[in-house]
Amino acid sequence: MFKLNESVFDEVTEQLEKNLNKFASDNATIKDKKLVEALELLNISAESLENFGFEKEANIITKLIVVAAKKKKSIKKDPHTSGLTSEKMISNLKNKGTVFNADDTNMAHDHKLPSQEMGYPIIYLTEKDQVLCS
Amino acid sequence: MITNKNSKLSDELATSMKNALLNKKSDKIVLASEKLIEDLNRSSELFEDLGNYKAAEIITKIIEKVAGK
Repeated sequence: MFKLNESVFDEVTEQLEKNLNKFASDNATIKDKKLVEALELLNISAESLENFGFEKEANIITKLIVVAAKKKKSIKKDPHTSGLTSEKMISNLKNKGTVFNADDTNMAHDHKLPSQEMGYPIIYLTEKDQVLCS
Repeated sequence: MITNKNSKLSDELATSMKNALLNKKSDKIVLASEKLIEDLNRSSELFEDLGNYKAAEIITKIIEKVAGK
């Protein structure tokens, strides 16, 4: 049976990942362009409708522009997950203790983690945790 | 001095000029309304492509209303 060399497998996986990321990014750009074009056309149409005396319709179109533009604005990238790849996730896990980009800054306040020299890892609950458990 | 004949010609000329202006104006209106419907149609298509069917439906209704008048 045909078996891929480990280095070749890694190379293929990396290339596939790159292609997938590029495809996702291109797709997002196309969608953005389409939305911008639609909003521009609607803006011109609203002006024309007003000139022709279709004020009610012009108002509807203007509202539509505002709603669509707001939707576009609200689609923000999550800094915790943006640009995550399997390598980045492993690296994050090694360095930060979580697969996400941001540090889990609250974790240090929640629990006191013992060092490995102390034996079995035990999570010491704080007063806050005990209140939650009772 | 303006004679009767000249006066008649002058009236005809004025009427034809008025008609030409009106025709030109109506041509412009027709072109503008065609462009409006074209723009609305395209934006409706784009919203449909983006999966925003509600927006596409609203625009289509406006097109029907504008085109109907």
